[in-house]
Amino acid sequence: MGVTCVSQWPVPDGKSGQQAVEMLQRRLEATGATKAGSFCVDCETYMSGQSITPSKTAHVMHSTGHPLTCFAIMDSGTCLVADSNFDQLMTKLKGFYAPRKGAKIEVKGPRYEYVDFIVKIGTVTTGPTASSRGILVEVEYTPCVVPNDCWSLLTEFMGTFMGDNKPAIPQVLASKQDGIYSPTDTILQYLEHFNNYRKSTGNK
Amino acid sequence: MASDVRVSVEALQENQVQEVSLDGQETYVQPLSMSENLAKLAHRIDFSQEDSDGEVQLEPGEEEEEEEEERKKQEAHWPWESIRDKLRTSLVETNVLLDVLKIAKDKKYMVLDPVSQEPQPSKPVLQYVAKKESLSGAADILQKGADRLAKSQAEFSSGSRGQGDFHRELLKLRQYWRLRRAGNNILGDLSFKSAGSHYWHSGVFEVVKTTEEGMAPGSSPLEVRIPSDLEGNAYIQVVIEDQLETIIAVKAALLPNSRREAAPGEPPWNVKLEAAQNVLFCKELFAQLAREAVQMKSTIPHLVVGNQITSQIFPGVQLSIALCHNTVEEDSKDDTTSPQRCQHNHVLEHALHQMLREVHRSNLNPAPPHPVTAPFSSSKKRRVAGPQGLDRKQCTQLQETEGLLERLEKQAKHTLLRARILDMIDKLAQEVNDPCLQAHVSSIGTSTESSVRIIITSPGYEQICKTMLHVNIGVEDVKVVSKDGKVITLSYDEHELRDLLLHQACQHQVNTVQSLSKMMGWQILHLSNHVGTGPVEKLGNASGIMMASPKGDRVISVRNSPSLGPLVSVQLTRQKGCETWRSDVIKDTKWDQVGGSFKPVQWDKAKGRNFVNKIELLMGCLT
Amino acid sequence: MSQQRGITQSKESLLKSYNKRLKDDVKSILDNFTEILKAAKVEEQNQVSTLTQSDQARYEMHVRAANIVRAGESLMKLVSDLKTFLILNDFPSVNEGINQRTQQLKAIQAECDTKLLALRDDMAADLYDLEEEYYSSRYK
Repeated sequence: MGVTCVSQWPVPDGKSGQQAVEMLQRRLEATGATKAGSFCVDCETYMSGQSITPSKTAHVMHSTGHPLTCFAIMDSGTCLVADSNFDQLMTKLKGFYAPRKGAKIEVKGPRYEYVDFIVKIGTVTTGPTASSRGILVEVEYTPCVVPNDCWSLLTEFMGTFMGDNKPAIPQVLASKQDGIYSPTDTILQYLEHFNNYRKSTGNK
Repeated sequence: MASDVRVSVEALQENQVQEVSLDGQETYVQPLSMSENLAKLAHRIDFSQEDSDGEVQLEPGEEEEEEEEERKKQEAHWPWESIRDKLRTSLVETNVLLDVLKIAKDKKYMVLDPVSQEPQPSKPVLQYVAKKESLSGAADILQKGADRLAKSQAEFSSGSRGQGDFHRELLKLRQYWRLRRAGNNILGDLSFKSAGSHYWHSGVFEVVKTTEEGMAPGSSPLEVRIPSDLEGNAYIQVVIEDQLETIIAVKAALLPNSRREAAPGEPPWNVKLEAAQNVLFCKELFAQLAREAVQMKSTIPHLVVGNQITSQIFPGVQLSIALCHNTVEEDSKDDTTSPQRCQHNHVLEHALHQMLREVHRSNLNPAPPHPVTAPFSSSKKRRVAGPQGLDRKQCTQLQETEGLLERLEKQAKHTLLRARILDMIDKLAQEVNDPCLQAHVSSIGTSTESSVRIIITSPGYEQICKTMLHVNIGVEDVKVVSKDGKVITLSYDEHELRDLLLHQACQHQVNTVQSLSKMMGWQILHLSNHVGTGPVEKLGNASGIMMASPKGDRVISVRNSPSLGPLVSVQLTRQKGCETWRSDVIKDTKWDQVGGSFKPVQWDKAKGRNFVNKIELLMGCLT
Repeated sequence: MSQQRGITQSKESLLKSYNKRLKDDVKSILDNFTEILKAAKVEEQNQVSTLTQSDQARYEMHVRAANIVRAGESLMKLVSDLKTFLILNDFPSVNEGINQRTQQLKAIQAECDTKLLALRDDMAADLYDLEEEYYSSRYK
């Protein structure tokens, strides 16, 4: 599990999300990356029921990059990394945590590998509408686990196919410069983006 | 005087023979017709002798035929009247009898009482004698039976043969093997199913009592019948050999006398059962290996022919695994077997056995926690995969498991590589005498990894300098770790290691000279492990050192090359008093020490036991 | 009685049949013996003539004696069957036997292991010395 950076790719005005994704894909393939399957990251939100007084939210996320794992994040930021059977546990806790309707978000798209890098380009969709809300790009540099050591390399690589739209260092990475990167951090980044999307649609 | 009255209406009688003719034909008297017969009989009735009515007297009368014939003519007016009267009286009498019997049956008014007869004289003596005889007969039978029982009991207590021994043997059998009862038979199980094997063979054997004819002295009263396909002995033969043998399809030769000898005191059935169990185990092992050989995808496919699996482990070397099943009971003296084929690699065979037993055990004992009712579970790594957040690559690595054949091949490769490397080190140590090579093989290692520590010293100067190398022999590669931490990975070719060791030896010489010069006070002007001058070396690089004497007037230069040997030259500075270079400008005496040509030293003729010794002596004489 | 709760139905019926056989055989011996003694009584002859009666009595006695012998032998067979049953199906002793054998074999295994380890250690120490000697000598 290497250092990962998840960033939002702004959709140019005249084009649809699909076209933007295709353009990114072409650029990637031009650099020499090879397509290696697809990926999906989804998030379900649970609201606590009546019995718990300050109402708490729990986000349960899955990622194909970690096929046997289930991530559960509370609104305080604590993240639980559990076996994938955790979902069944959540259904047993229906009395306490009920799934919030219409709050399921997922990101899907192709996955590219370029020697040590893994790039995932995903379209964000909410619920059954399948209309794309935005595009998220995840870039992972597998050999390194210390963000400080490889941020510059990551940025440079992102620059090759993202051009000027390469992102700034995410909050999560910035706060963990010399620590060891873990899968939780990737998921937190995704959650942050999901929350942004929710807020933006809420505002609209 | 009633005459006997016979009333017959018709008589069926044989026709009397009237005449026998000369040709044997018989002529019968024609029977009388009914009326004729009747008339004849009617005439014979003598009614004058009839009694008065009311008297019941049944007296056997005599026939007075003569009288009858006389009276026939007298009473002829109705020949049937007398008959009718007689019939009537007899009817009356019969009715009376019937009534009497009916009344007597009721026993209310009339009872039939036997007429007491005179008691016959009793003969008890006869009866006594008869009873005594019969009693003695019965007693005889009882005695015979008891004798039989007592005899069998005596046999049992004496312990030579009989039922008791059967039970004792059965008890012993039960302690070693699983037995159960199925109806009237006793069945046993010699398969490994209870140990976790999933092989299809049921391995059922039957226990019977030895019959009387089969009892030979020294045999047990218990006989064991094993399934027919498990008879004989079997073993798995693993051989590592050159590849030339593949083309000749040699039938795996059977070692004569491979049967295990019974331990003293061990019952014969145990030997038989253990041999059958061994056959079963070998069969299962071979079936598993063959299955893996067919399924495994490798660059050079495995060859599975009949009872033999062949695979190539190194170029030119093959590993062959054969199942040898000896069904013939007698010792087969097969002299035509090639001696090469009779080798066994016991270590690898034992490793195979251990691996299959390991598989059985893991079938039965999956990693906890799991409920008692679920005999399967995922491995420990799989369980923590979720919480640890393993990614896809790591997850796929989890699922890779090695089969028996793969593991065996790895072990075989390692064994062969190790043998080759050690051989090579030995030979090199014999060849190279000057820096002395010592090899210490480590006793701690696994079946796929061993290590050798090589110490290069100069004899006589061990304390000054020692070069240590740690050689790690893996499955297909060899890693050499030097003292300063450098790791060099070599392939399975042993010549590469040889070259490396030669190079290290050459470096060592120079390092020793360096330490020696420090001790002797000589200054080191230049030291390099990879000098760039001189001819290009075939293997490695030459090392060189240049040192100046304490006074500074002599310089020794050594260039040690792994292939060409050492090249030592000495630089002599100008003699004292040589005035050529003196001039007014150059006044310092140190400039006297500059320059001078290098003269090579004839190293073969130099005095000294070995290289370092020679250098020392040289240094000594130049100081 | 608590031991018998775990017995299967077929075993239950087997045990019952053994019981029945025992009772029948003993009863048969007793009855036949009393009958022999009864038949040995000297009686007045009735309708049958003396000879016939004595013949009949003798035959009866012989048959009853044979019955007693048969019952005895059947008891012996029962003993043997019981022994076999006990050996094979008496689970506490079977388990005990298995435990003993396991412990015996484990002890052998542990002994082998320690011996091998000791052998390995000795040999390693000796090997080191020998290697040192061998490799540092001039004559290899």
